[in-house]
Amino acid sequence: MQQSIQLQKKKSALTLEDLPKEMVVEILKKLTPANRAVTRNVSKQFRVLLESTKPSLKYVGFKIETDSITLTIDGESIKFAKTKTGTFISFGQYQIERAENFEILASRKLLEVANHAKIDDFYIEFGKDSTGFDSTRLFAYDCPILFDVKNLTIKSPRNCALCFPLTWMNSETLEKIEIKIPNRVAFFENFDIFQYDQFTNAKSINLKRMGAFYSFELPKFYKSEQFEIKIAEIYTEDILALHNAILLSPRFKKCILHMRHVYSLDEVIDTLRLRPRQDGNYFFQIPDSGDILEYTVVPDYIKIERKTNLQ
Amino acid sequence: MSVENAPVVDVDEAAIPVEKKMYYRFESNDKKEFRVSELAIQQSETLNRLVEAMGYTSEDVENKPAIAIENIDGKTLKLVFQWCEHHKGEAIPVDDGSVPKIVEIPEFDAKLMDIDNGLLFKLIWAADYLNIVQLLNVSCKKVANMAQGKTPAQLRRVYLLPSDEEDEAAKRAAQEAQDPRAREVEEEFEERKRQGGNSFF
Repeated sequence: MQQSIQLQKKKSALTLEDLPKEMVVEILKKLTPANRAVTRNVSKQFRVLLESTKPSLKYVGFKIETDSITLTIDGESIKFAKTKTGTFISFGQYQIERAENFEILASRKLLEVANHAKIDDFYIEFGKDSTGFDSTRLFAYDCPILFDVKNLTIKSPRNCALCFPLTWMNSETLEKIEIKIPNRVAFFENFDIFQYDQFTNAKSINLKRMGAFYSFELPKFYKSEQFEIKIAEIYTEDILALHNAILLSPRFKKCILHMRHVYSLDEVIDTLRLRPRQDGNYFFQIPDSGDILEYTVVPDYIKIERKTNLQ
Repeated sequence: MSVENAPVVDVDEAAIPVEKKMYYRFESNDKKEFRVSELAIQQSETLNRLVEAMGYTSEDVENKPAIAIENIDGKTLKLVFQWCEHHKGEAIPVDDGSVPKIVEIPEFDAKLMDIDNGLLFKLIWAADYLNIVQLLNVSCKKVANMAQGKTPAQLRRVYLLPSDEEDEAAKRAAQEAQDPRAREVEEEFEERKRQGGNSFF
């Protein structure tokens, strides 16, 4: 018996164009991030096929200095040097900067490489000399897509740049936000990150800075599963506000508040109606629930943890 | 081609378990015949299913006609079976859905795929049809690696692809070939625009 496998009739000399789309997609899936960016510009068809592959990237990093931006994607780095400034093109009543501007090039490259990507870690570092203007411009442009980022880390000498990267992130996928501000910052009027869902919906928030939050900002964290922050000084009424916000929180588990000192520990304990435990900690029995809020209160540190069993 | 004259694929006899030592005969569309070990065939899901369904004995393999693989030529099929023999017994990778997919090209595979692009695309096509997962991975990776350090224009030359403009022009030309009146209408429209007319009608 003659067995045969029928294959589709093909030309003798195949090119990439002759391959079925699913095979071209298989090839595109194997491109490195940098090659992916180049391949996007080969043709419209390639762009469409590339966007169907949804890459997963482990690491995306932006290091922003006043004269350069370095974009690193899964071990491959591209440096964008600052070009001449002061060159503008007119667009109706507006003037926009020339397209060769390094911030635009860097953000465009990221879009080319990470379009529709899932990103594990997105790291942004603003250089110590970057001014508020320089450092925010990169993210000031409207990003046409939201990046599906899991962990976002921002290191900045100033607070003014922090909001902009948040607007690029998909609030549905952000799990952990870590913000590091190594320099002392006196005022936080521009540190208005609480208005962004990306910030308030994140499961875990870790804020480290030389300066500190005002304690009246504390209840704004209540949507987070856990957070760790440093605050300047804490007032009893602000802890009470946080306590009440936590009771309403759909997913609060744990928070750690660092501070120079609490003015009156006894007043906090009385106001919150905390009950002592044998181990020296305090607890609050959540009404209509078997859960408790366990308070560890020491002069420079308060830990609040939601627990299911009263031990 | 007679069985005696069939191209011989190198076989590592020691690596083949005794119970699997059966060689199937396949024929390409240009009538070249190959003998391939049962263990090597397991790299191809399509061929493996086929021979299982046929249930040939050792005598059947010798006495019945070779299994014809139509539309895969001998040159391509030889590469496919050389690859299968070299990688026989290796685990077949499972697609974890990751992109970009990390694929290392072993030295043997790199040498095997040191071929012109036309043959490489045929190899990809054959690997996909015969469902040889790892051969498809390495051959696609080889094509993907061609993008290294190239500009989009260079890539179009490497992959023999038209630019968007050329693609549009080709489509227009094809359309015009079907409907010559279309070009006349377009020219008339352009002429009216030049004369300052607001509407074509």
